[in-house]
Amino acid sequence: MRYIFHAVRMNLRAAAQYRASFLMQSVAQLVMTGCDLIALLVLIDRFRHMGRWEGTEVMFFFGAMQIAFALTECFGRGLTTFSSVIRKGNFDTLLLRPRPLLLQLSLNACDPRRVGTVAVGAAALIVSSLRLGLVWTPGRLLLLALSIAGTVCTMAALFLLEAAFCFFSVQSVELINMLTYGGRQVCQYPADIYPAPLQLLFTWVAPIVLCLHYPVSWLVGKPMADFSPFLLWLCPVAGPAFFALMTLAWRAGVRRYRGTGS
Amino acid sequence: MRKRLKPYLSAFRLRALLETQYRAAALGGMATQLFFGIVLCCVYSALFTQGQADVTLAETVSYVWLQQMLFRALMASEGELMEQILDGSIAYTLLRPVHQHTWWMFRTLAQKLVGVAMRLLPMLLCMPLLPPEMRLSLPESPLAAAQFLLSLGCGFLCVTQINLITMAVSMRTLDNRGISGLINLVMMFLCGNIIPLTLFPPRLQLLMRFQPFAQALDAPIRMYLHAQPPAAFALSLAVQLGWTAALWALSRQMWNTNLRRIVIQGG
Amino acid sequence: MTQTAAAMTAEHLSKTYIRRTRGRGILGLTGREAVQVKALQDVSFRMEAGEIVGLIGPNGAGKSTMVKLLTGILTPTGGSCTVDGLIPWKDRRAHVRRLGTVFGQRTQLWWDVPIRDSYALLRDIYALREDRWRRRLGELTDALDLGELLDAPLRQLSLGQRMRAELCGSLLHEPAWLFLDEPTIGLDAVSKLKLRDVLREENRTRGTGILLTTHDMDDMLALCRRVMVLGHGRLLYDGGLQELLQRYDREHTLRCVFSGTPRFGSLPQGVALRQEEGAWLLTFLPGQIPVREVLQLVLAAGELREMTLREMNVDRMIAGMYAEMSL
Repeated sequence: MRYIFHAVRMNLRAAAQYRASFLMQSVAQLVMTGCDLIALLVLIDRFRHMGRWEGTEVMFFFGAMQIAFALTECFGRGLTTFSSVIRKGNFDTLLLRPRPLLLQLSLNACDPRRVGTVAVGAAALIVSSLRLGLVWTPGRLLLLALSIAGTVCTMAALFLLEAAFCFFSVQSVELINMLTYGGRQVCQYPADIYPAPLQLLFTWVAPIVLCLHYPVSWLVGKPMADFSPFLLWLCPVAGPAFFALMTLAWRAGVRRYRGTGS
Repeated sequence: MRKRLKPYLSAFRLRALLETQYRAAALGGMATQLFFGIVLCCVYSALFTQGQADVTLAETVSYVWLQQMLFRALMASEGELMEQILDGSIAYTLLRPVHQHTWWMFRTLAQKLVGVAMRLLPMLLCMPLLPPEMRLSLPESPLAAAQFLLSLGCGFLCVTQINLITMAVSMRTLDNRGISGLINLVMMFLCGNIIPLTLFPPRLQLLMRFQPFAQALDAPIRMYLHAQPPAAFALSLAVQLGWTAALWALSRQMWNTNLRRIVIQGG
Repeated sequence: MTQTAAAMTAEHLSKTYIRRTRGRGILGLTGREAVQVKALQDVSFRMEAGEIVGLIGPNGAGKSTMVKLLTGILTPTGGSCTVDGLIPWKDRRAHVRRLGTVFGQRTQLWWDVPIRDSYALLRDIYALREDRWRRRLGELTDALDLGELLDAPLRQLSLGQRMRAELCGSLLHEPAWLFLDEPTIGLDAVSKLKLRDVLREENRTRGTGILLTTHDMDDMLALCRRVMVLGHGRLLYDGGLQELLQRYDREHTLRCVFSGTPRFGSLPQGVALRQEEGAWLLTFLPGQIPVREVLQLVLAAGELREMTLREMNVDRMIAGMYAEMSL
């Protein structure tokens, strides 16, 4: 516990060495989410509807997805920059320390400032919830929290898969980027506006839709077409399960690294 | 004159050659661009349920694809410059009898032209594989195509100046992530890459069209979609070139100040 | 288990890896060939706790592969190794808790923060008790002269200061085994001496086992009684350093500077003479000609101003071994 706290503080101190950069990075993260939000507002202003969804409902999806992604980036950045860790040989250093590899990797790049972007998502979530007049019970709040947590697991699992790929080939990482950053792009809007292949991809291959959109669509009061109540509590479980699955890929990667190096 | 240009032309040629080496990166980038293009087209297909007064779905789809295909023109990969600054080897570059600002301008231009060309053609070849309503349509007329190309050339010049300003700021702050990341984000947004500028509310159109970032890709794309009458075309080109000149002066000034600082610090 | 005693052992330790050549085509994926590289073959040894052993060999001989196997970074493809009963690649966390490592080219500290903060993080990583850590840090900063540097970020330190800081970082958790890869490369004489003193002291008072990879003969003479020589992935020699020197570094070189031009007359069998930057170099094999005769030769040649015996050379020694084993 103390290790975790200390490692995070250290990242902040290191980043603070470059003061202008520190400020700008903090701002940049807000701007990134802010740009997406403005884009959404422009679209809502012009079109009012997106498929069968009202603009405000879309904003609710957007908020939930932004929160999930911001949290994932906060803990999972070490995974997205993993190719450079391998290239510079720094993975050896991690192997030489008596701590779990994934924990070390996550803490090495963990940047609590990213949580700031959660605020943008939360604002979108609260405003849209108020305008939709949603009634929140503890059970519903719990479901929302679990959905977001499950999505964080799913996104983190995709980051993990990306990192595991680095053990095999650095060049193919772009393909997985499509699932991670593509998933962020796709899933900020309700999934059923997309053609079937995209929906299937993000429901069953990279189950962001399963974790987030099914429960959220139910919370907003417009369940997905093939929705069944039994799915509702299954959805939040899908994320951790997917993450567990991807740790297998990661382990295979580590085994390969330790098996093939010189 | 030719003799004075020679070092810059050779910088241009070298950077162009280097860019052709990054084929795997180009392929990966292309795949990403295709994917994002398809996703955005899907989103707009869902949005355009009833007609809009000023924009059609087909136009928006074409706008999205042109943005994706020309995406490489927006960012300069200035990694090498930053490395040189951070490890101090910039001093050797400074010893060369060339003007740094112009030198990097030519390099950036070369990288853009070759980088875009490498991605543009394969992506065009992918278009027939998409459903018809998701494809890039042809330019409205031969005139539109001609105007587009001319304007695109100016756009490249203009965005190069923006990149040079970004580089100058990064040099100043010895930071290659924070500030350039921020400027690049704002640039992507204001260039129309994240959402077509044509979709902004009509009351904001004037502002969106005349801001400097729109000169890079938005202005040429509008011509691709609709050929302009001579007067409007001239005005648009004048705006592009005006911004280019202004930004050129600004970036040159910033570089000169920076270089003096580096020389004085003389590490 | 018969070897529960504190020791590092390797039995028929081997590591083969497959290197793919870059192929042709746009992505360089076609026509790739897999080449088997035998980085380490059939290496067996036993190193007791508290020993200092030098590991030498030319580049590509398998030194770093061996170190990576023993530290658990790599898994062997054949044979086995244990360190105090633990299998490095299987019991990674238990094993590395007892290891200290300094790999010359690579830092284990954090670049942009004061090194004191790096040490504090290491304290948490190794879960050290606050008071023990504080005492240990005090000891090491004294011994390594780091006191004034503790508040400087690593990137501001000179090479010698950095290496001392690295060593301090690797000793904080009182490791039972210390792996050092070229720890003195590029250091000035004072830093080298300091580093050696600390290593010797660490070994003497705590019984730390040290495996040292180096090209520096002085390091080895100062620290190691035993050396292992690797060549082409095989263990060529494992034994006393002095014996090794006697066997392979037989050629001696006397460097003499005379006032005026010396007259050497006719040289006896087994002595070679050449001129270099105003000095005269005499090379000879002590086995063939007594040193006394060579010295007489020099003294008779002219007025001697200075004379040095050229330091022994690892590379030459290994070249000698290679020649002998016809590798």
